[in-house]
Amino acid sequence: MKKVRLAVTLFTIALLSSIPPIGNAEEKQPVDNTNPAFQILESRCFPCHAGSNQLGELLLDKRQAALTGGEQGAAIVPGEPDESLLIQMVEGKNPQALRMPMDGEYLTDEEIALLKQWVQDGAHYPEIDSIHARANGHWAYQKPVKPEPPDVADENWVCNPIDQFILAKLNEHQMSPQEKASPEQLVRRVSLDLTGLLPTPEQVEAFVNDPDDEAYADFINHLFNSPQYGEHMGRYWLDLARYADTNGYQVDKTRRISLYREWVINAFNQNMTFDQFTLEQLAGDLLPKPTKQQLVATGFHRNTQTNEEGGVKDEEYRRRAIVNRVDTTATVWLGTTMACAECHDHKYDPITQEEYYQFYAFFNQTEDMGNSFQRNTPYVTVPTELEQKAIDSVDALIEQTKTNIKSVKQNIAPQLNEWEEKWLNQQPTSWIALDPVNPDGAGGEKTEFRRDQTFELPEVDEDGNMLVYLESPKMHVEAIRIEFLPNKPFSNRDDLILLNDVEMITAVRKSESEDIPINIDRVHTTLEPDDKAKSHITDGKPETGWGLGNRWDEPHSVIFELKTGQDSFNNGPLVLLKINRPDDGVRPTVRVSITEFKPDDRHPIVPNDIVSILNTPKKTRSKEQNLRLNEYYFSISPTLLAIEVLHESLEKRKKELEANARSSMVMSELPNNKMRDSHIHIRGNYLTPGEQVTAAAPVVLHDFPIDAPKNRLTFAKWLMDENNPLTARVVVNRLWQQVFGRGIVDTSNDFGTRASPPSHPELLDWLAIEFIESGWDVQYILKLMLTSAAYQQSARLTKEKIEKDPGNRLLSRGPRFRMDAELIRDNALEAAGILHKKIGGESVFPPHPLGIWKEIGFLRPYFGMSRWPESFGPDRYRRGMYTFWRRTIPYPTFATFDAPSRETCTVQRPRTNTPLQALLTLNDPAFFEAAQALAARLIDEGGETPEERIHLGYQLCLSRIPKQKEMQRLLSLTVQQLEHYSNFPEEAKRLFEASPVLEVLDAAPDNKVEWAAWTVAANVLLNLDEFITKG
Amino acid sequence: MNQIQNQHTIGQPVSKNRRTFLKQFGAGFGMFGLSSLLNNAVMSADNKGLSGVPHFPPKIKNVIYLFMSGGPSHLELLDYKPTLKKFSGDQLPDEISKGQLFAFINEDAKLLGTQFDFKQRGQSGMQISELLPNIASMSDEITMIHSMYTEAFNHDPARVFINTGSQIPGRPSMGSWLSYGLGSENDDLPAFVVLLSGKGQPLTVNSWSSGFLPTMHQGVQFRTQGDPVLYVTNPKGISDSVRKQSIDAVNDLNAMHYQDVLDPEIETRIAAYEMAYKMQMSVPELMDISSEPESVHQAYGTEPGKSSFANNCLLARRLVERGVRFVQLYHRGWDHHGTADGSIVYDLPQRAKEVDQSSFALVQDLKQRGLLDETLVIWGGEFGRTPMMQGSGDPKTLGRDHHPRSYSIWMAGGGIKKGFVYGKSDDFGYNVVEDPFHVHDLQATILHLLGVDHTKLTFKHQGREFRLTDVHGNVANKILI
Repeated sequence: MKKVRLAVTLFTIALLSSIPPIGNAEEKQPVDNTNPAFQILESRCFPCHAGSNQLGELLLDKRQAALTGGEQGAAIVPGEPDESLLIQMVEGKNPQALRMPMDGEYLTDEEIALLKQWVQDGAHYPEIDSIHARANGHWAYQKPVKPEPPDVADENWVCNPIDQFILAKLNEHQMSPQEKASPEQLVRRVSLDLTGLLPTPEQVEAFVNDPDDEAYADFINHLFNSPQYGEHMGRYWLDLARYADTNGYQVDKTRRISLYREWVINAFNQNMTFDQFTLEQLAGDLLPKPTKQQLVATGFHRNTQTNEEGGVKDEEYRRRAIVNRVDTTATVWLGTTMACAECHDHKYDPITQEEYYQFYAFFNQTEDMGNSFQRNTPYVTVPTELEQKAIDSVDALIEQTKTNIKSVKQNIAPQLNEWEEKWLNQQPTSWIALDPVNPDGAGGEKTEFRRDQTFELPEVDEDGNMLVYLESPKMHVEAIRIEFLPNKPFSNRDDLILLNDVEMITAVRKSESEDIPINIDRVHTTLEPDDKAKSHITDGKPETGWGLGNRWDEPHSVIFELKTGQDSFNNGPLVLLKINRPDDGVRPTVRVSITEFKPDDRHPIVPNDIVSILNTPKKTRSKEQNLRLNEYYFSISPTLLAIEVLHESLEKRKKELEANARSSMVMSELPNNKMRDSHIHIRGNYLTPGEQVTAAAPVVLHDFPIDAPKNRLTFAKWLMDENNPLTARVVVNRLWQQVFGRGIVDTSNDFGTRASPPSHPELLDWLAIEFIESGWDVQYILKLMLTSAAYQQSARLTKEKIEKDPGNRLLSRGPRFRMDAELIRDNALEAAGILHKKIGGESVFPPHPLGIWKEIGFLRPYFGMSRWPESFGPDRYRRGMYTFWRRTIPYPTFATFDAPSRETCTVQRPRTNTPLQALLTLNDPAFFEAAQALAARLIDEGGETPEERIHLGYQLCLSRIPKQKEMQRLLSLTVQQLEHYSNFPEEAKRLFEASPVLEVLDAAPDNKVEWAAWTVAANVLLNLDEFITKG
Repeated sequence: MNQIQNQHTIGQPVSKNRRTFLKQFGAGFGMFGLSSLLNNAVMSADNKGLSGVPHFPPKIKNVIYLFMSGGPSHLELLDYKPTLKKFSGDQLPDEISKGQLFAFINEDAKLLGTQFDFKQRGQSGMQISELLPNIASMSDEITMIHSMYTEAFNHDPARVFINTGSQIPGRPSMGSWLSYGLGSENDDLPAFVVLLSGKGQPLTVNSWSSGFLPTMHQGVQFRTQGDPVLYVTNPKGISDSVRKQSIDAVNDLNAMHYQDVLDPEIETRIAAYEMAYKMQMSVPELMDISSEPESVHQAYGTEPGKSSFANNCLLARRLVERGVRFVQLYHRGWDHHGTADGSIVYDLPQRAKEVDQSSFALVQDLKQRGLLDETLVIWGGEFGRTPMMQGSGDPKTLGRDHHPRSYSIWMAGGGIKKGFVYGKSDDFGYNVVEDPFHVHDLQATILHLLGVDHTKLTFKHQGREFRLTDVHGNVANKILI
């Protein structure tokens, strides 16, 4: 507070002399938020009298509120400073109240004079509030105007207008550009920038020897047409899209979304215009008649995390995902740190918290959930052509059975009447209750005996089962019944699973070999008709089960109808009942009984409500009762059951076919009647909703279309509107960063008021407008950058350049920086000749340190995520972008080289240089196998002499010929290693023992000693600074 | 080793040369500010921290954080509640828990008294459970905190919160902040090391991630099985001498290339390869505890070659001895719901037994070696457990749910009081009633002991300055000496 005050005071003194003479109070003085009087109000009064703080019910931040006043009446009377309570209070002249401000020191006389003058002038407030006024004068919120490229002295150097901007700035700093890079350097640099892969020695040679002026431009076109271009561009985009193969958070299971990755690669390979690229990803589902690929594109925003930790609240994580979509969209398209306004108004940029939630409202209308329990719905299945044919033919059969079912149902009356007759004349079923016994006790000693044979289910054993032994008479048995007695204390536990995977056997004591399983045919329950879960009792799936829901107050039974023709109960005196149950401590009271009567037409097991309908005379039955009876009979009619069995198996087949096809998570808008209201979350907490908001764009940006629906599609179109001052700049800046190592705006994620100023503001605007005018053509912009003279400079530093342009912000030389994690590995494999260049597909599992998942991850085996399923063969050597990306346990090889976890959007990866990286490229199996393969290649293709092999090694790894001293150094190393491995041939043998690379090598060298020595040399080549650097 | 340093031609030692370079051209860097410098291409292999940090004379140099992952029950271990025992089986008064969210139980679940005996211990008279007899025996050497609280009631957010100051993954962890601010005290090991033991709730790397700080500040997991540090071991068939010869060749060739392009980044890389080799030499020796005398193994309960919390405690001492600033041990398996995760009657005592002797031995060992005065040992989890029961009355399935509102931890070491109890929870161990100690306060206090003002250790990211304690955190002056 003190600091602000001091600043204001100084400012005040400076301004005192410029106060205009007292004029007419009615005449409106233009006031903005730099008005010194207003600044005093803002810094000294607003803390207690603005926004949500209204001490004494007084608000001073809006003119009308100040005129109305608070508890003590009007605070300001325009033109009458002495009548104004505000002035009286700060002067301490009001005897009824404490002198203001209460907090901090009183206002100085100068400050009071300024306030008085302002009231005298009419107490005019700035036309916009102080938060939005921050936009004034900030370049990034002004629509760019295409500048004329500046004239430069040395026009010969200029290749395109980019160079005019660069050269002018260099000259301004009394600097000149670096000489042109050698053709070898250039072809390597541009290959790495467009495909992420090194050029082949043949490509280098052809380019070096091509005299055509267009050779360079032709080579760029050639690279644009390479399928690796889409992969390389896509990899950067996937950092922004926070693409990963898992759900994140604690459990972090696999999800299906790799089709989205493929979509991104294809979009770049087609050079999809950036506006279309935007529409499909943000709102593909809202496009008219979207294609499946346009749905897949919406995976962009399904890359948010979902949480499946037990006990989490779905809504909390759903909202976190929406918040992440807001923040990511703002970062990627607007270069705006929207996230700062989630909990309060933005501290620096012109964005209020209300605007944050207006933005949020666009995204708050999708179906997806915060947890991933239901396989991350919604998703789209994308079968191959063959798969689709199979699905279609099953579909046709399904339609046919449905028609059959319908016609049987329509003609059910005769069957039903016949059945009803039989039921009315049935014999009552007699049930014999069984005693639970202790299987280990002598002579079948009865435990926990109760007179009515009821007992509590026992505790769960180590295998997760409840075992109950019951003593049974030897008799013919057709059905077994488990009764659940009413149990009020459990009535709030409607999620309890009571029965799951029930198995029964008849047993002879202590002789397991004579056990005979009891075959269950069908299951009936008295919970019908709503008992959809009864199939869970015997489906053998541990994750599904059956329970009473909220019907603990009534007695209920489950009846197991046995397969006919079993006389197994004549086997032994014991029946073993095995129930797979969660170990939740709940032990309901049950009774188990058997009967010799088959629950057939004569002895049907009928739910309680049907019994009462049947006991009602037909004539007095209500319409509902008849409907219910029909409904019930449909469920037991033998004719219908037979068709339904067929129907079910067809549906199952269809599901299997669909499950085998690849699918991908997508966005899907809620139907109109289920649209959500959006509110401000007070302090960012979703449990404390504030005012309701409707979807709207931030005020400081261009206008949102008035007549279009306020949905994601309109929003996406609004983003790509040519009046948008930010998107084109933000995107070209990122491309610039990708190629030159840093953006024209260094803070490529933040173009707000705290952004670092652009190094070449006119160039940024010129490029942005070129981008828009080209129709958002990404390749056009890239080509401009890559054909500039600035790009084609040598990266060599000089003492002068280090001194005057240490970070190469002025581009006084060509770009030189360490490659990204994936590229380092890709190129080790490429140089070694073992990179498998398949495009797209599911993620792969290259070498990974043993046991990492087990040490850290979720250990329940049924989640299937306790072990890294290592790939062998070609899949082991795919490009890094296809490596399985688990958010909570990032792939160590990439994480060490600064790859993000992809939990959130990443615009800039740091570029560190650490010993752990050295250990990795030296010893990581992925790199060491590459060294083995490269050595084999040098021996196979390099010729007989070590000089020739080193020559080839340099061409493959560094795209150039070694210098004499480099040749000497590597020669001495290989001589040394040949000697070493000749002395220790067993070490050479061990070096290749069971190496997975053998699987993919065409020919492995026979001489292991030689191969080992060259492997050491290859390992050195793949560790050179120059190898892992784009220079 | 000398040969490696001598062979390259740029001058030595490399790291010094590199700093001279930075100093020499310091004026130029001012143009785009220190943070962008750190964010971008030039990142030193040696980590000397920020200038001006520590902000004031530190009380301690090192931290050993014994993290009990899963949420140990304060009501069975550290916070004695006779009233809770008296009302066992009743419901908590409505006004205390009405309308609150729990992970699994309902707000009307029944109270459950502590299942174990507590005794008054030492001069201080603090009450500690029979499950921790060894820790209890040093009650006069520790500070007990009964007013710890957090805001998250699920494991992952709570663990990430206490380690990074935010529930949302992606911020730097405490050890990373300290590595960034204070640098490393040694030149062949990382500043921040993580050791894991036990089974149970999964851990996620984001608990020891460097977030938006450079990755060199990331906690490095030292593993007791497989490679102790990832890739520190040479591939089969590559001997130490071959490795040294190849690093010599890499550095020589890099030095030659440096002369062509003069990029200082190459010098840094040469230094990094030197340090990598030093790590290859020192880490296996460090991890081999078999050289420790039998008396030490007896005291800790360690068995060389095994993966256990006890072994990790001994390793923690060896790491601190070698100048590793922040050592964090995670012992899993404290999530005693009474379900598949285990019961407080059968499984909790087992967990307590796994950590009691070795936690005690670690503190005593540090003391004997004169290291305790410069080290802070912290023992605690991400949250406590509810006074209400979860599961049935059967001891095998008796448990408690997650509880963020009040729980207990203890600390021992330099700069803090001994035999001192800080803060108080209510009679049910449900809410804090005295000296509340929030997660951010714990972080602020640890940084304070290390001479760091938690409000000043910041990093600019996405347009604003971030810090470990967000915009919160108060140093708990009452526990300081």
